[in-house]
Order: sequence, then C-alpha cells, then structure tokens
Amino acid sequence: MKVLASLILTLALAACTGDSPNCEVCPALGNACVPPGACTPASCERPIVSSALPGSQVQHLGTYKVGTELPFTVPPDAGSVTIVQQAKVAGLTVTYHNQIIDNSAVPLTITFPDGGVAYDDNVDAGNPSPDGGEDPSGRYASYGGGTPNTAAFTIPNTSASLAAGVPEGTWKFVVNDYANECTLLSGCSDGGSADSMYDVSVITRTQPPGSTLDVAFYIVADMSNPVSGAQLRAANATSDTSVNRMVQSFQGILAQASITANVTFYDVGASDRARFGTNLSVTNTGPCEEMNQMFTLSSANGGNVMNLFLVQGLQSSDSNGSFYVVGVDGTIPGPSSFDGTVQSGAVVSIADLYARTSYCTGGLNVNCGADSVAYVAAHETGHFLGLFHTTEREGDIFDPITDTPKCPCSTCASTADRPRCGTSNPPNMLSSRCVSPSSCGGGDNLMFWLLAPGGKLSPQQAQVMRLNPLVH
Amino acid sequence: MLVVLIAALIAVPRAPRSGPSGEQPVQQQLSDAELRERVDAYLNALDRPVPPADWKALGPPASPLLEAVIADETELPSRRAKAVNGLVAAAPDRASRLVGTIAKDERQPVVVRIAAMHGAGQVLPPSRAISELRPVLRSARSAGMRAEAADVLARRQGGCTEVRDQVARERSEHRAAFTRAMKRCGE
Repeated sequence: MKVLASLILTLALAACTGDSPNCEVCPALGNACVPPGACTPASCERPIVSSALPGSQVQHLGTYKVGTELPFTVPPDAGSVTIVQQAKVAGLTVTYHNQIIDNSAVPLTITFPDGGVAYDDNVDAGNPSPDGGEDPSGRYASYGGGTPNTAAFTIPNTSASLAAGVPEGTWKFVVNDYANECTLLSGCSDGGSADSMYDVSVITRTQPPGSTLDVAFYIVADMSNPVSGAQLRAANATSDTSVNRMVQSFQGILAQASITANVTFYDVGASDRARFGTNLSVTNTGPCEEMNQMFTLSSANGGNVMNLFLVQGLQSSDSNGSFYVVGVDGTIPGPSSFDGTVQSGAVVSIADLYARTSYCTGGLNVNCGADSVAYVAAHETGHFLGLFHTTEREGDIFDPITDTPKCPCSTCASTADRPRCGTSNPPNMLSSRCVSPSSCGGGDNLMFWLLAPGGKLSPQQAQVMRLNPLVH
Repeated sequence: MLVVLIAALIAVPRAPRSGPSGEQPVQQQLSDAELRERVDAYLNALDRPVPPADWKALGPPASPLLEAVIADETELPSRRAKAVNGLVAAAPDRASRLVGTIAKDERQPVVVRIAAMHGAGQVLPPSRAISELRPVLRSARSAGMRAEAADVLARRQGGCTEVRDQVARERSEHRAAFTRAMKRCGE
C-alpha cells in the first residue's frame, strides 16, 4: 500500500511543472515541483506514520489529492470513527481575509451511509446560543480548526452525535485542507492550492467505551529535585515523591471519567533536552515550529499512548510582549495512535513540580505544585481526547457538550463589564463568576479556560474521552 | 471555512495573535477586591494567556499585588512568571527596576528568570538590556538559560554580535538550544 502511495505521489509531482505559477521547485524533495508553500526546510520533519492500533481497527486508504471522495466502512456497534489526514505535500499557511492562518486539514464533507450529511466544512456552522455566542452542541460533528499537516477528526464529539451514535455501513468523506478551500471560496489572497496530497486512514473503535489510557511522560526538562539534588530522569521518576504525587493526582482527575491511567516515563537525548527543555516557543504551532518538531520525538516509543512532554516553560511572544503558558495541546483531538507526527502529543510545564509541598496532602489541591502540574497535564489530555474549553475566555464560545454549564459573558460578566461583551475588547470570564451551575457555571470544570479548584468532568465529557481510540 | 477565523482563534490552545497595533486599553476603575480577583484569575491562565491589553487595563494599581507575588518565593513559579509578564504590561516603569536583578539571580526558578529576561528585552533600552543579560548569556549554569538570553538579545539592536560570540564558545551538544536565536540573527 505504501509503495502504491509513493507512486501516486511521484506521478502527481511529476505532473506539476516548474513554469507553472502554482508550483515551486523544492530542493528538500529532490527538486520536485510542489504547490507554493509546501516546500519546507530539510530541518523540518513532517513524518507520515502508521497507526499503532491492530489492523482490524485501521483502514489505510492510501495517498490522495484534496477533493477526492473516499468511501470507508463503519462496523456494527461502532463507538467512534476517526479520519486521519497526514500531509504528503501541503502548504503551511493560507491568507484569508488578510489573516495568515494555518493550512488546516479537515474533511470537506462527511456523508452518512444513507447519504445524509454528517459534516460540511463549507456550511456556515454558526450555532447561535440563546444567551449569546456560539454553541455547536446541537450539530452532529464539530470542528475547531487549528489542525495543520496532521489532522484527526473524531465522531462523536458533540452531544448530538453522542446521542445518535455512529451508524454502520459505508460512509464517505472528501479529502481536504484550507488551501483547497481557498481555491473554492473568495476571500483568500495567498496559499490556495488544489494540489495538496494526504495520506489517509480511518480508525474505528467499537462499543463499549474504553477505561484504560496508557500515558507516556517524556522528561524533556533539565530539572533537579531541590531536596535530593538528583536530576529528574526516567530511571528515578517513580521514586520521586513529587512526581508520584503528580501522577496520583493526574490519575485521580481522569478517574472521574472512569479512566485508569497507566504511566510510563521516558528520557530524551541531551541535545533535544537542550533545544526544547528550558523554554519551548509556542508562539506559532505550525508543523515546522519548535513544539511540533518536539512531538516527533514520540516515535522513539510507539504505541497507542497519550504522549505528554514535560518541559520547564512555554513562551509565546508577539509584538506586544512575551507570555508564559503552562501547557499546550497539538490539536483537538490529537492523532491518537499515530506516534511521531508533528501533532502527536501535548506539552506541559513542570516548573511548579517541586513547589509548595506543604499543600501536597489529602485530595487534589491546586496550591500544591505537583497537583498544579497534574491539573495541566489532565487538561491538555482532555484536549487531545477531543474536549474543548467549556467556556472560552471571552464568554461567547462554548463546547459542543450540553451537560457542561456555560458562563456567557452577556449574563455572567459583572454589570460594569457587560457592555463590552461581544466587542473587540471583551472582558475575561473569571472562574469566580462561573460557579453557579444553573446559570453561570463551568468555572470548576477541568476544561474551563482557567485553572480553578474543582477539576470536574461531566458524564458527556467522559463519554467523548472514553470513545477516543486512545482509551481502550 | 466560513468559520475559519473563529476556529483559528479557539481551536488550539495557544497564544493570541498580535492585536491591532496602536490599540490603547482603557484603564478600568476597579475596587480593591475586584482588582485582586482579576489579578488572581489572570495568574491562573492555562493555555490561553491573558492578552497584554487586559494587563495594561489594570494599570499601575495592580503593581503592588504583582510585585508581592513576584517576591514571594513560596508562591508557585508559574504564577510568579505570569506576574512578571503582567507587571511588564501593566507598569513597565516598575518592571524595569526588577527584571535585570531577577534575570541574573541563579536562585530564582527558571521560568521566573526567563519571564524577567523577556521583560528586560521589552522595558529596558537596548544597551542596558545587553549589559543586564550578558552575564546570563555567558555564565548561566544551564545551556537552555544561556540560549534564552540569546533569544532575547537577538531581538535587540547590537545583540546578535553577543549571540554569535557565545554560540562559538558553546559545546556542540548545546548549540541546538541556540537555534531560535541564531535564526533571528539570520544564521
């Protein structure tokens, strides 16, 4: 199958001439002619990998050009379906309405066996919420964007699809990315191409929902235990009190979703530790960026696992300054079971691991440094398994789940702040204003945009997580 | 695609893109309790940092609260680092008195020093930023910390000479850490 895919790619590239305005000669690909923007430096690795799941769950369809409609089979009693696109040749960005955005890969359409539309990326997904903003919970499938190069699209991920299930039969979808859509829509001024090629697979998993998640923690940070002085490495991680507290709290949070997390630690090489471990840049998250190149290290220990990379700090910079963040997930959802890609994991800061140990007694306490790290690790794992923020910072976008309380700006912001709701300068929805379950809630949910005591997960959030192929 | 702009903003937890340049936040009149509530919440940001305009909107009245967090060595390092970010945005003059000292202090947590280094790059004039961060670039125990100083200096006028000299002194296994800085310097 791989040979056939390579042959198709070769034929496709050969058909493109260097004289065409839609092609550029790419030295990194043997002077092949590729669509503009698709040629990346040799230092940028964009691996295409196989799923670690057994063949019975994987339909590897091959390499196809965008615009191709492909059938796939969903077996009886299916719990979830995941479409995975991995770029063979694709540009990095498109310019849409003067904004440069990642060239995200996403099915153009997904069709049910009866011909009905499960998802259409070109239908306005405006899902007005009665209390203002966007609420996609009533749609069969929801897509959040931000999935360049390597993209997974998992159904069910909304309350509507959790209720309806995934019918058996022959489904279809159209291979696609934003560069392709730029050739179909007005508003794109750069990056449009109908020549992108993707390696395509479909993963299916049957009911019942899973209950076990294997987690690989990659110790990238060069950090020492302040008491013992020992450098934190995989060999001594399980004998480190703070690491054990972090793992237990992480397991405790996921246990709310009836998921048992089995944890393994791995080291990375000294050069990778020096390059990525101190302060990872997450300013941009395209395939050639630092974080995404770090995620390719997960190929060293393949398997159907959640890869969590532990670094000291994460920094985002722009013209307004630099900002520290405590975690970032590659994509929502992540490409579960595909290790070594540019989106195969999430990254977590462990700067707090050894801090405030006096608070590290009893149950989860976010004042305890190890628990704070556990919370962030669980939050990013939630993203990787398909969960969105219950309420976004501006209080106008909500997750596609009905049993997570919302905290709309229009009704939950302070009276003084409400006039700014929906403007270009909206107030931030504070967790303290989002702790009333009946009207202004979700501030105690693990997937709220701020860290807050609670770390709760709802039954539907648990369902989404447990139907992800990573949970077995 | 019709929702692509919204999607790009919400999908992946990431830093905000730059806002429109020249946008001046309006400083809000807040009670002490409201100010404290906002500062505390902003320090709990996870994967979406609070925009600098929101820190700026808190203005100088937030300084004592942020300085107290920065100075509290029993506080979580992540919150102290975010407090440095906040102080740099809300009260750059006050921040300029702190950032150089914190950046050079090997006893401080790595993320707090890094936030201070980036703050120094913002609030100090180029010549002073170079003089404050040169000791970190040359002598920090951690290669990653030296590389972070290089990344800040690479953005300032005259900084690339310092960066190139340091990379030449580094052992080969540490040079990968300087990739970002060297790229900024056109290498």
